[in-house]
Amino acid sequence: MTTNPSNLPVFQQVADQLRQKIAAGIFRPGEAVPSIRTQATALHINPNTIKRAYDELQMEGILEHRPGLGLFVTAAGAVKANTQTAQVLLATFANGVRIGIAARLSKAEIDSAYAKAWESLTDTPGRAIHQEITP
Amino acid sequence: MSSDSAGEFAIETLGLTKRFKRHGAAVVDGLDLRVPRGSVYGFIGLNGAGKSTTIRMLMGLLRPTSGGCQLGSVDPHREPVLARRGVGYVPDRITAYAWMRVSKLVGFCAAMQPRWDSAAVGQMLQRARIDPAQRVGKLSKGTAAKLSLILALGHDPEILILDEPTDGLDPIARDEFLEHVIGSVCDRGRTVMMSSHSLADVQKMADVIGLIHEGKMLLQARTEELLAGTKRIRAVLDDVSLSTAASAARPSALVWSRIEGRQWTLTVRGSTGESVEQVRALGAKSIEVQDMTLDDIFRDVVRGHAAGHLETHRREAIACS
Repeated sequence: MTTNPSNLPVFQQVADQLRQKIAAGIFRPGEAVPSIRTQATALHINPNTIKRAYDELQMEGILEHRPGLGLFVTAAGAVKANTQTAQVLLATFANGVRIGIAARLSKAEIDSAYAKAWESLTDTPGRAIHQEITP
Repeated sequence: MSSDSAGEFAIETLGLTKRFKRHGAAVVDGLDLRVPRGSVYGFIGLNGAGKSTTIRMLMGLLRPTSGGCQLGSVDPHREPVLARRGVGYVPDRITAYAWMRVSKLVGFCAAMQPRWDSAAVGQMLQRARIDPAQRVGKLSKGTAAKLSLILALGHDPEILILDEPTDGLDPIARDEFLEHVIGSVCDRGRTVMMSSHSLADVQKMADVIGLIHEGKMLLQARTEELLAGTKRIRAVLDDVSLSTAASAARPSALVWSRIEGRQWTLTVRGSTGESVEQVRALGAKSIEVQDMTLDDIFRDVVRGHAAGHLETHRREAIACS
């Protein structure tokens, strides 16, 4: 199964993006995340879709609802978001490896493609430039 | 936002048909359209597919040749005044005299609606930075579109109908316009029916999609179900199975297919797994299954429909000879 990130269901893209933001510390445990209305109007996404993404993150224990206040990152939220992001990363790399295998590239060639991608995105060795992914 | 009255439709048409010439082709042809209450409905189709004609019939501006429609629970042709009270309409271009000042146009619209909220309209104009003293003809395209939306919302309607609202707007004006629409959905739980060529917007905004083609509803489904249930299969075949594929094999769920070199690309809707098995059974060397965007699905459904038409015509031609 091949998936292009932009072809993923919209709620999945919203959930992935928020998870990445929590993993990156843009929203930290105990802090509120943007309201459904704010997200919906900013991204031009149906509020039901945003709600569905938030529901998923609540089920994963990354967000919690505080009545009358909104949604907050749980104490364990950052760690959980990190784990989930690692899974998204794995799926994305698996996709790349699959393209390589289909084109009959060797493991060494696939490894070197990864190294080149890393180099192209890091300004100083070991420090990646954060790139915004917009759904 | 699901309302309490689930299962009800805010807009419904039954066999809606419009012919402009008595014996001419139907521009809208037996259309059954259902917009669930509280949903955002994306009405999509090629130019000339019948979108604007449908919308004009819903608004009571055109009389159907046959069939009927309901807005809320009102027939816009029997009770036009009542129907207009429950619906806000943003036509594809603003219909006003260029010399009119914004304030005059607002007054003009207010006079036609008994439930006009002047305070809310004033606030919306201010937020949109529209000067009431400005002449309508001098407004930029983006500002005119925003004004048109504000005028459509002035009587706080339950239903909002937008005909190609972002057509020709620059990216910033488009953003501001869509923010306003989504805000109105969030705050009021309005039903929105929106025709658009911007399928990326529709994919993000709509709960339900209706695809009209040559006046007929080719597809009407929940966006999520449509996107999850429609896949593109790419199979690499050997020369023998390729000729079999081209001639005989047709998975039942097939929407459209294409052969390029040794690659067979199929778009299937519904039973994806079954289709994959059918393709595998032909001896495919590799099979990939991909998700699709609404844009991809739209193209393939329309192409598939055209291809199907050709076959029907050919069969008819053979039958005649």
